[in-house]
Amino acid sequence: MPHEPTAEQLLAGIAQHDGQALANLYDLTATNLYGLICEIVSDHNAAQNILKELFLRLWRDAKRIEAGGGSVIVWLTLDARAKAVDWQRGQNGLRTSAHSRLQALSKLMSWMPGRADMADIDKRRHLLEKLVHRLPKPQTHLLELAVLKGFTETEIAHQTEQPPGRIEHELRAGLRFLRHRLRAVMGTWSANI
Amino acid sequence: MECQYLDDVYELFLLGLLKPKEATEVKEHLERGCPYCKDHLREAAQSVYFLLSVAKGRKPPNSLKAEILRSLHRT
Repeated sequence: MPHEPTAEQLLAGIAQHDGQALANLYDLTATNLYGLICEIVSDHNAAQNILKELFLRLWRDAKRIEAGGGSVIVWLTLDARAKAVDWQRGQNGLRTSAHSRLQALSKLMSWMPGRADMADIDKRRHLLEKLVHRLPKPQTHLLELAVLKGFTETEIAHQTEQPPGRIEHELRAGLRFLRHRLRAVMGTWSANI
Repeated sequence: MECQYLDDVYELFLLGLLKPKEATEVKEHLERGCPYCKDHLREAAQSVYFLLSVAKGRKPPNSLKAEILRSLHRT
C-alpha cells in the first residue's frame, strides 16, 4: 500500500506549481493552522483571510522555502502566528512587525528545524504537554500573552501593572523551563523531569 | 563565539518580541554565521512550534479550500 506523501514531498510538488500538492498539504495542515489563527484573532473572516494568504504565499515562495531545507509545517505555523498577531495588534492600535521580522529572519541562514526534528517532537508530544502543565500558572499566562497575543515584555508589564523587570524575569524563566524540558525529552540533555 | 549570554533570548527573538539592542546582537551573530546562535535559534523554533501547536484545531469552512485553489493562478 503506498505511503501518504510527507509535507516536504508535497512542498516539492508545490515548488513545481502542482495545485494538487497544495490541496493535499492544505488537508494535512489547515485544521491546526486555522485553530491557531482563531486563538489569536477575534474575527473569523480575518482568520480565513489569513489562512488563505498563508497558502497563497506558500505557492509563491515554495521554491525558496524548499531550498532552506527546514520543516514546511514549522514555517507555516510561525508564518500563521506572525500574520495573526500583526492583524490583532493592528486592531488594537499597536505596532505590527512580527511578520516582517520573521520574513527578514527567514532570509538570514538555515536555522529552521528539519523534518526529523519535528517528527521527534510529534512522537513525544504527550510527554511535552504534561511538562507544560507543570509550569506555574502565572508563567503560563505570560507565555500565552507573549506567544499567542504577541505582547512585548513592556506591554505585558503595563497591562498587568507589574514591574517590567519582574515580567522579563518570569517570562524568560518560563521559556527556559520549556527549553530545558524539551532538551531532556528529546534526549539532547539529561535532566530530572 | 562567546554568545552563551544570549541563551535566554532566542525564543523572544524568533517571536519578534526582543528589545532592539538584544535583537541587534542576535541578528549580528546570525549574519556572521555563528553556529551557536544558529543551533539555539533552531532549538527555540522547536519550543515555539510546540507551544503554538498545542492550540486546539478548528476546521475552516469547506468553501475556503476551493477559494484558495481558484486563486492560485491569479498570484
